[in-house]
Amino acid sequence: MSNDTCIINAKNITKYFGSVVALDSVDFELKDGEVLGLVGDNGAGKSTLIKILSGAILPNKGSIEVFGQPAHIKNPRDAFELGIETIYQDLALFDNLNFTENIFAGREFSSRGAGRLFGFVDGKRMQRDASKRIKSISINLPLLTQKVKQLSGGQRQAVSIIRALFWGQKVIIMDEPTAALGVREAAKVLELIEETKKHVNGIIVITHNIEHIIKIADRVLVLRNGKRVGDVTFKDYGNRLDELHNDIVKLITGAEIIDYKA
Amino acid sequence: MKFLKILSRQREFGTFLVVVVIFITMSFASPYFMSKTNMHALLLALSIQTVIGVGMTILMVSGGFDLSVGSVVGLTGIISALLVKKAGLPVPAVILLTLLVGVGIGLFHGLMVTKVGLNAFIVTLAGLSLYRGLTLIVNDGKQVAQLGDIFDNIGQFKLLGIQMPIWYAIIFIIVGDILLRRNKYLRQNFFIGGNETAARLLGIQVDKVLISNYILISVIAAFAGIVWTARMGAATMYGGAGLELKVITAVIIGGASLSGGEGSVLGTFLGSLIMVLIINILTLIGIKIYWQNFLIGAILLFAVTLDVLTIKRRERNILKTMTQ
Repeated sequence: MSNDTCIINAKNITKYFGSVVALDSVDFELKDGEVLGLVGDNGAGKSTLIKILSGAILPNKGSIEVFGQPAHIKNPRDAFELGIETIYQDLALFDNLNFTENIFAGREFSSRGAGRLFGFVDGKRMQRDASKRIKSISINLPLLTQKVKQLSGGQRQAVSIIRALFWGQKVIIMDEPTAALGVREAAKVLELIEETKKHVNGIIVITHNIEHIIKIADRVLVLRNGKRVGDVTFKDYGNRLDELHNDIVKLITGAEIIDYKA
Repeated sequence: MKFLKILSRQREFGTFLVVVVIFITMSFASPYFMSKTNMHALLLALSIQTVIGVGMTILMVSGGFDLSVGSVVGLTGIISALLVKKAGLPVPAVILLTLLVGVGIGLFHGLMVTKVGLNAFIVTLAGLSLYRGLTLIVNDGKQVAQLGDIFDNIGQFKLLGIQMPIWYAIIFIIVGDILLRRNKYLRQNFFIGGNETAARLLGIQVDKVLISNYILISVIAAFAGIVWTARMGAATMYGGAGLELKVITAVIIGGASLSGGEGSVLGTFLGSLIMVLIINILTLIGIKIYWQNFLIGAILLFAVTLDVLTIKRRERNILKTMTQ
């Protein structure tokens, strides 16, 4: 158990915004093969931590190691090259375009034939590769030629995830993947995360929804007021899910809660 | 049969059908419609709009806007005429220098929008007045004529019985449409127009592409300024007036969205064609020329309403482009 390889190992991460301490000496590790939940109330520092890992913000103090090597993540490009892909709440999708175009956004294949002279793209090859990828992940997506804006919330999440997987990303960070989704759509996204687990080294999920995180994560890190206050491994609770739920909430809010089942 | 199926799925098919219907109706409405002279005059009137329409389509797909093109046509028209007549420069030099003016104007627009962060609508609206003003200042409001055969031929030479502006338009449409659909660099405009933040996140050099769009359209406008002056044989201070609205209208009728992410060169051409056809037929059956502006507005309203009602695309808030 303690021999699990850490694919991300961040130590002593501290971030100030003026006089506000967003993160205070937070240690963070993502183990190989796990789905890690990152929970905490608003303002706890979850978004800040994730932005540091994805290169959107620089920490004031602290060190990060990725796959055992020291890493300096200065911008989103650095994170991409380390194999870390962050899927933000707005999904960074292009509503006016279809699935294939979204997968290849910014990275289109160049034509290998005569078209190369004019800088043409290789539409057929892109379409072929994109549909092959979907089949290998066993997701059910409607017509590949549909505009993404016509897809449901869960399907849109799928497109974002498939894009990350297509480009070989090893760590996927998801910011509130089930927020604003109905019960059925959220369930589909949770299934999708289960499936994605097989194709990557690790997944970090930020969420407010404790029910959801209990369903898919192996472990949860709790932040409160910028500090790390808890590290809860689900296996330790066995079937005692109510207790698990309560303990997590206690850590998030820092209060003792009344056992409503009494 | 399969070809027909693919054809019918293209966005432009609906617009194309409208054009066919108009054509058929018109050949019954007036015996002069199908005559060679009328067709030629029609296409000539269309040529400048079409050429600029290519640049405007690309710009609007990226979410940008240029209200100053008409004034740039006027200004570059006068500049090229003055360079030929007063400065006595050889025609190739005149063309080069005038196009460079276009580059400068486009660069100015591009930098104001991307680096200073001004709204494109505002920058080019200012440009509209600025360049029209310069057109008046530069030659005291007087027109410049008698520019010599070599220069005039740019706009008046007939190749296979068809005047050069029409040939330019044909080349621009074909090259423009194919490149916007297939060229990797130009395709980036669809991503930028669809979701600029996401485009940046994915590594697209948004600022660079936007600046090149503004330069492209201004250079095309400068080219149009030269061609138009050459065709008229003179440059006047009214050159290009009202052009921007006609071109933008054509781009929208052709299927582009005001907020960006959609559009095609072919669609824009069909949009221009529809406008010009309707005005042509009404002129032929005797409606006064004063109705033109009214008709352009009416056609635009009709086309956009039709589009919204068929829920072909979701038009995002126009206010967004004005208050960014």
